Amino acid sequence: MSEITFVGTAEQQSLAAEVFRLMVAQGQFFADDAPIRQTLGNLADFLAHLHQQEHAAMAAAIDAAIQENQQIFIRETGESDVIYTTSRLGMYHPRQDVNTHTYKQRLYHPEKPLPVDDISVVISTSRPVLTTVEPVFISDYWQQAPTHSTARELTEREPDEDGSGVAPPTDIPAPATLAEVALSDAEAEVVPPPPAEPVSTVQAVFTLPDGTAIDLSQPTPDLLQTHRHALSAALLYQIDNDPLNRLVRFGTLIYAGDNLPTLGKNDLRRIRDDIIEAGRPLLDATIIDDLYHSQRQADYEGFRFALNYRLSREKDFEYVGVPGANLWAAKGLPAIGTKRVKAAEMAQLTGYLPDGLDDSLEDQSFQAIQEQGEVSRFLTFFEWTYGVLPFDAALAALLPRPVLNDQRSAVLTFESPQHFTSYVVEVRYPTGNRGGWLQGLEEFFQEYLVAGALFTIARTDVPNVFTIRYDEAGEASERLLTLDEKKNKFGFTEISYFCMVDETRLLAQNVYGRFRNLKALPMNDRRKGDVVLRHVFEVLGENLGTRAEPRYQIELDTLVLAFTVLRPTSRPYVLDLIERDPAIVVADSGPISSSIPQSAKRRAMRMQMRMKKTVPTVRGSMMMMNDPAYEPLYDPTQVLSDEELRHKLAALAEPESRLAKRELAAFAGLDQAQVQALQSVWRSLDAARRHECVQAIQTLMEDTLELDFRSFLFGCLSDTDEHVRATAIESLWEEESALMLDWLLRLVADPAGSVRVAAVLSLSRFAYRASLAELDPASSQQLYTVLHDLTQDPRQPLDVRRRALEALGFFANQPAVGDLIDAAYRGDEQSLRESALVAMGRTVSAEFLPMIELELRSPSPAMRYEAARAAGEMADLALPLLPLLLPMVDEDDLEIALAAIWALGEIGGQRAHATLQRLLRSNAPERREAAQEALSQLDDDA
Amino acid sequence: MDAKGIIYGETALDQLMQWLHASGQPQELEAVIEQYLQLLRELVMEAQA
Repeated sequence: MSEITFVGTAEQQSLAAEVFRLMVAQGQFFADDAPIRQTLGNLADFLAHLHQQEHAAMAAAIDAAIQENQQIFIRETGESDVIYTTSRLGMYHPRQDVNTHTYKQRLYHPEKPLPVDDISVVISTSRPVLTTVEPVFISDYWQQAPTHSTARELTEREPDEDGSGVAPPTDIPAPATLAEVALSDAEAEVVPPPPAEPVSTVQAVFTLPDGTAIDLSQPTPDLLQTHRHALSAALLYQIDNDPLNRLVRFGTLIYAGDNLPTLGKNDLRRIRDDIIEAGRPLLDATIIDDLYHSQRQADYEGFRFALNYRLSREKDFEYVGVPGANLWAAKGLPAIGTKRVKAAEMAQLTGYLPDGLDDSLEDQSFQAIQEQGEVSRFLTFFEWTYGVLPFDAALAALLPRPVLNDQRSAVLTFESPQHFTSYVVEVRYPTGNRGGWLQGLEEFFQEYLVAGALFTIARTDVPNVFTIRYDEAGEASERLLTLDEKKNKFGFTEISYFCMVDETRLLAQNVYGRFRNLKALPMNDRRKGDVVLRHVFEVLGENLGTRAEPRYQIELDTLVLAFTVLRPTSRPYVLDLIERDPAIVVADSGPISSSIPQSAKRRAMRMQMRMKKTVPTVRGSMMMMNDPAYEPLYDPTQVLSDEELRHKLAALAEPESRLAKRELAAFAGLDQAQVQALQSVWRSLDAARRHECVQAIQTLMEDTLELDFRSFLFGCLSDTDEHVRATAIESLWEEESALMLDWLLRLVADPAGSVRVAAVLSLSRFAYRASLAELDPASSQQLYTVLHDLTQDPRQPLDVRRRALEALGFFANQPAVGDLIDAAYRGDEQSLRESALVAMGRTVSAEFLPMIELELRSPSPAMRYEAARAAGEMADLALPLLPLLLPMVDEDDLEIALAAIWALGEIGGQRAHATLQRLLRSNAPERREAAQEALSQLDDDA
Repeated sequence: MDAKGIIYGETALDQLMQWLHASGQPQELEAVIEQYLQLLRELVMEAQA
């Protein structure tokens, strides 16, 4: 490395160095050995001004300093001024122009140096294809050219004790070379520097790009221990950024780039076909075994590396392996796991994990999981429904990390030793502020577990294979919370299970009956924790206020459990949401909850949320107290043009974008022509997105009654997507026009079963109106005929037939109806028997009282529930059934108890009244509230 | 050579490639770094000798 030192007194050294810096700055874009010239006058002008000195004194000082440093500067006396010359190397050496021979001579020097017999061979008008890079012979002539170091350091030599120490530049050309240079007359004044003496010994320390000093005199293990990360990062960076690919890597495996066996397009096609045929990601070893078994034994590891390296650079392949198991997926392979929740939605739903709101290590430490190689956890409702698990810290401790920096997912095999089944599970790793999750366990969860079950995931000896097991128990059967995907509603279903459960997490109807009132919110809403929080308060909270100014109170444990129904969650996440919401207050802290054995630290907190209802004349939106962000959703004075509406609708197309209520409200109050004008844009939206929009509109309609989306929803009845059609029917539940009846009668012949079910359910309202003679006779008869035919059509799904039967209950005057109900009741199909009870109630016919009485004693909770409802429908006709109904209000099964309470309000009588009065003092808020409503009904009837 | 002139990831890369060729199969990063440091050390020591 060049070091330029200046001589003379300290002041002269300093001044000479300053001049040199100025001149190098002037010639910063010059070649290293190009001359940089400057006059004494210019230098004196600049430096005198800079240092506030006399011009003449400065000129004299500069000249003296330069003359002391003639090894660096050449001094020339020009016509009007003194000129100094130097170069960026620290001295200017005029170039020696050698023109004593020609290009041809140089080419042939020494004699025929090129590895060709005839130079004419290389003279061609067309460029040959270079298939390989061959070493090129370079004549010694060219290799003898002097080399210059470009690295320079400008340092000022400390003055010797006498202040005039002299030291030549250490790296400047040797005097012998300089002597050969023919100097021009003008350069004759240059005094060659004294011979260079080696001033430093060879160093063993070098520096990494990040500044880390590596001392090679240290033993390698010590260096690795101290600088492992810096050494790895620097080498990987060099490998990744080497344009020649001299070394290549796959993960942390490194190989020489020119050593790689090649894979052509045909190979890639065969590999892709192999993966697609297998229907799941394949190991690299399997691919080699399938396709290259015979050829590749000798250089197996090299070929395996080449395969992985090559596939990692192909966009049609995705690495989904783990350390020790290189798995490859190909474009076209079926997706793993649920399609009901999109990846983008799951990433957002699990976004609380990267925020640190993760309590998964409360019961098992990270280290314990790694050592034991297993994780135990309770299954939540959301996980059970969709077959997903959040990739929280506990699972991160157990599951393998990604091999590649940009690896998105890994595919694992989960084996069930209890059932000898296996499941392909995809791990989606977290990225940035988006969480990770596992998917593909739907079948196992639904088949063997229920929400609240304890299960364990454990490592095996094979890196990509894990086991999943649970503690078995004797058969239990309960009505548990389920999600009816067709109706998109929660309900309770009789489920038998054989696994150990935490009773506090088992969503049984008799404990968590009100959970059926939770809305299956669109995923777009569920990802917003604050929306879920308020929804749970409104649905499950006990209203301590009034209708006009409600105040809801809920137990923290119930709140968290309800969250787990709607989305992945953690207790810290819910607490964080509570903390951020100014409308929620923690009322008091109670003792440790004894019903939750896993968390002795949990505090039974009660929270209240106050809400008040606005009293605008047009709008009736609910708003949160203290919510400064509240603004009306709907401005009736604002009229948008068709173009503006189209623009707004198109803006909803982006699946990631939020379906803001304000944006959706723009589609309220449209007329038919406006809806027609929007059709082309609407159809351009993705079907799933259209469904999300209609679901969001449905929610908005329920929250904001004055918004009229009827025209928009009518437009959706002819949508190409069955989910959109079905949701549109449900959303139009208040529509009683002839147009709606006409649509519904057509939609019962829809090709999609879900649409037919929704249509038949909706037709019940018209059947009710027919029973009140509110429909014209022709429509009434047409409706009856359609419903009758549906119940008798064996091709129809059971759901369609049973809903049609229920609706037929309103046609009690039709002679065939009694027989149809009777036949269904006496049949073997449980759900049809339940529907028969619904229909019996709707007939309000005493002939069915004996059957209802019998079913009030049924061992089946579902039949008892429907019988109680049917008794209520019968009103005072069911007075003889009161002795059976009265004790039912205290049943453990909350749904049945609430049905019985409701029935008492419909049937009436002194005993019913007294029982309802007693229930007003019940400790159970749900029963208390239901009794209050039933008494109000009795008062209205009176 | 003087260690100051070492460009990590560039200097002696040819020798490192030769070692990888000779090993006949890809190597883990740690083994490669170990070998590379050894090669660099030899270069510097040769110069000192």
